Amino acid sequence: MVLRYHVAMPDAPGGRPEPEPRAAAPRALGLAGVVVGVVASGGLLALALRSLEPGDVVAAWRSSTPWPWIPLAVAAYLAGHLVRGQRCRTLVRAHAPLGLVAASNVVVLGYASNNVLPARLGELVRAGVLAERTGMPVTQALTVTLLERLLDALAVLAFLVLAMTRLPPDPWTLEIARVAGVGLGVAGAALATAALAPGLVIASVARATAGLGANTQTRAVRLTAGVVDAVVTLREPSVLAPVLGTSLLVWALETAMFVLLLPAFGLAADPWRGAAVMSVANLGILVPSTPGYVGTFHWFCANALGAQGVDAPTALAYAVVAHLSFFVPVTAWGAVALLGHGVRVGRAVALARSARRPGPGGEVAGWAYRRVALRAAPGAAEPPPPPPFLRALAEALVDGTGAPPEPAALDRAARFAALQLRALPPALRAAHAAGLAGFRAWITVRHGRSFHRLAVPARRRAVDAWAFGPIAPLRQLLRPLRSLLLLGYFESVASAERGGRAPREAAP
Amino acid sequence: MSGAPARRAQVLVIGSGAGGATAALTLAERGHDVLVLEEGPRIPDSRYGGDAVDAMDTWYRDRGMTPILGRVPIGFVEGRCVGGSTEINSGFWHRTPRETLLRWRTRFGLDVTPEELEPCFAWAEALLHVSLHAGPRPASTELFARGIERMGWSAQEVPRAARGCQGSNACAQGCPTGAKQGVTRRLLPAAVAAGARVVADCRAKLLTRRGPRVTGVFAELGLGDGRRELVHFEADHVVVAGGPLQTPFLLRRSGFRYNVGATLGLHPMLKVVARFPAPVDAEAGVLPLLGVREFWPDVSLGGAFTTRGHLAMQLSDAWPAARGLLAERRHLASYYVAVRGSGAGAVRPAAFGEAPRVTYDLSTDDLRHLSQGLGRLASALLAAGATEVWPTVQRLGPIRAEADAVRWLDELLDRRRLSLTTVHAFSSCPMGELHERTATDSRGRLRGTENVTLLDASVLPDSPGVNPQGSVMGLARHNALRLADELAR
Repeated sequence: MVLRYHVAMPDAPGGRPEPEPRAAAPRALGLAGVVVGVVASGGLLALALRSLEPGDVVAAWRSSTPWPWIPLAVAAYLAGHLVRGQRCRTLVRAHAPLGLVAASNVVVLGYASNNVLPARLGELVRAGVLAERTGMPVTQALTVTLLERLLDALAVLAFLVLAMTRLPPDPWTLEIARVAGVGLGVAGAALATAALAPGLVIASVARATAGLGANTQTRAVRLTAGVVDAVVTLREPSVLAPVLGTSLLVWALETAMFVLLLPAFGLAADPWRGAAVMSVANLGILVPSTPGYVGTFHWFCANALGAQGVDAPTALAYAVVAHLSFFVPVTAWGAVALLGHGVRVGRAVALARSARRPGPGGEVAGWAYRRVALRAAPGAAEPPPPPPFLRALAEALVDGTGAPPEPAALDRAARFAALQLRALPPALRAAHAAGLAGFRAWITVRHGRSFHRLAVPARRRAVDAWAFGPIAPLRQLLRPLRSLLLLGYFESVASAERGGRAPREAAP
Repeated sequence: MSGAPARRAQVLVIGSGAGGATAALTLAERGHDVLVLEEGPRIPDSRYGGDAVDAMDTWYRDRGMTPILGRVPIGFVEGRCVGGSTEINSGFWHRTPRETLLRWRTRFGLDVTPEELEPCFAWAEALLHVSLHAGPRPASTELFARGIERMGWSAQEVPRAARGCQGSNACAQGCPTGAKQGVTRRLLPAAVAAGARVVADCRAKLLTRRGPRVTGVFAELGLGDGRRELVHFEADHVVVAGGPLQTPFLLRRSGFRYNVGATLGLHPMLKVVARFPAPVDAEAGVLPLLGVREFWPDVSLGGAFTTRGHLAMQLSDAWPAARGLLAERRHLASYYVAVRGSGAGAVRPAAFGEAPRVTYDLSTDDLRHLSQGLGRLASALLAAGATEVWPTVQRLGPIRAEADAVRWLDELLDRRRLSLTTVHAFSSCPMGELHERTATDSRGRLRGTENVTLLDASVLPDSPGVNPQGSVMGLARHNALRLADELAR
């Protein structure tokens, strides 16, 4: 069982718990971050471009071979985000179940936001979305986010140290490792203390804030408890092992991205060189910078490569491509995820706003209500004709059951299945329709005619091969349809045999 | 109620199923103004007892196509009509086991004792005519009893909310004789007689709030002519009883998220079709009535609803080999293995569409219990004389010998081949005094609000280990009585 630390607080009158602590408004912090970020990025970009001829960079880019290296690098990078999603799921598992796609979307939203917001404000966005998706307090979600980032930094540092043992000594890289090591060592020690001695941390905060008044102390203790609650899950081996494992896998995949880009510029795909460049570039962008780390990333990445003996124009061209390889796909993924999230949240907000609008009154069952809007009447629901494909599928399924097929029951089963499929959730319906289109296309290509024009035995063979074959996704594709068609057909046959139904008797 | 319409409801109840009907009757009887909003339609008597094709269109949410997503997708069905799922279930009735209640006290701090619930169960049982089957037991039950006896297991006949059951075998399509006691038989008519109003075809979409108080409900009301109106009802107190999926969906949309929708539990169910040498005519009688208690609470075995369409559907996992079996349908009967789910489930608003996105990860324990349950059920049915047992597992084929059945006591079924369903979902907004694990207190009062009470399966702290209707109604009655007292002050 995962331990959880909560501070017992008496409920307010009426059973209402104390409001959850809110995240501090990031306005002042954000403004300072913007200024520092712009200055840092501008300076580092100028340093990166200093003494470079733009023509040399363009020439290096033109001499590169993007295919297949850049797509492979992007694929490795995106796979890393799925692993990050899995890690996020593990970290919040004690608080709320989160699907892999939902967790990956949360992670990617943070990255994408960092690409368009300055000073790593994307981390706040990520925490906010995580809180919304899981129901965790924002403080706790922010802690989980910071925990992930700390684990990332530690993993990156580990990769750097490992690479340095395999590469020729380089004072510049060594200095970066030393600075990062000190900072991350302190943060890691704090993390370990919170995880191993949570009671001590909470008690210390309570003592330290005792003189600041009851309200402030309560807030501070509650805040600390929220942080500790997120961190303490790492005490569980069943959490710690997968979290450490996925953290290393994430950065192995990110290293793969950097390694795969090397051959695109005529450089050997040396994993240690890739690991060193990846580590330095990622530790470098911990420095607050402009959105997307423009300048900062390029400077650190190009210098790390330069330290390995690569000429400056090639190193900068490599840095530009590496930057675009993570910037474009993750921003696009984030935009799609944000669209889904925005639609979901926006719909509830729109409803709430609509409900506040004044409107005329109405009445139902003796109760008054306020009318907000009138929706247009839907068209009259005509029973749809039985789709030929579904009817043909039903006929193939009932073939060989010992009785000739009943045409009326086939019609009803096909119509029933079509209506049932329409009731599926939109995403599932779309996926199912796409799969069925694939099935029908396969039949058409293989037999030169559409499914419903095939003879019944040929249809039956095709259905048996897909719906009952060894390939699980194909079985799952046809599973709902074959179940619905068989249910609809045999219920219809039985109903026709019974000749109708008995009316309900009056209540006794 | 007469004269000018009331401006605001004193208590607005969302949902008219087991929890909502119990709340409406309890509150109305004590003189409170109660307005019940039901998303589904009021079903006319002429639609009771149709076939499954009709029924899925009429009675079921999403036409019975509510998927629970996960590594093993699970089909979930619930009612969406006046009376909710009580109109389409089998009427099986269990009080919450004492052991379960004590566990809930320990694990969730539930401040309700078995003794306190006793009169609440008795009240519901009297209204629903909960009793044992009066007539002769159907052949499918007798055969099951024989198998259980030969295995040396303990079993019991499960009482049902039914009076004068004639074995129409149409529980899932609305009982055509009125014997099965859905809440539209006694509870809702009694609530209406006590002054409650029931508005059908009215879907609650959002709770509107001002600070910690909910001010009313924003709903979509069908006008009866195909048009739908977006309306706002004001209320002093709101009881949410929309069921284990719709309640957390509504709450999360309305901004209530603390422990809401994060702990959905299920009873995953695997069905089998048994073929007997002599006719059992399961299609023509009441469903098997015995429940095996031997492996409770982790595994329950019992009889399932059997119609020709359902038989075909259950055999469809092995259809190339089983397609000829329906010619012998008089020899076939359906049974089930249900397990006390220990996986993690969640209910969240979906990005698109007006339905929640429901997920459940079948745990390894669930898989082990399903596998062992299949082994035991198949053994019992073979011991009862069945010649073949066909499980709803793709590419598995029939089990014909006990030696084949018992392998599942040790081996695990392949997740990717399971065809699972469930009709029991719960605990998406668990109740209790343990703040960090629960969404409501022991009275069902939603944390973070002053005037919202949850009274449905969503508040069961975790699996009751039995059919949850009795637990839902017992706890709803218990908490509705306290709410009535509170509102009267």
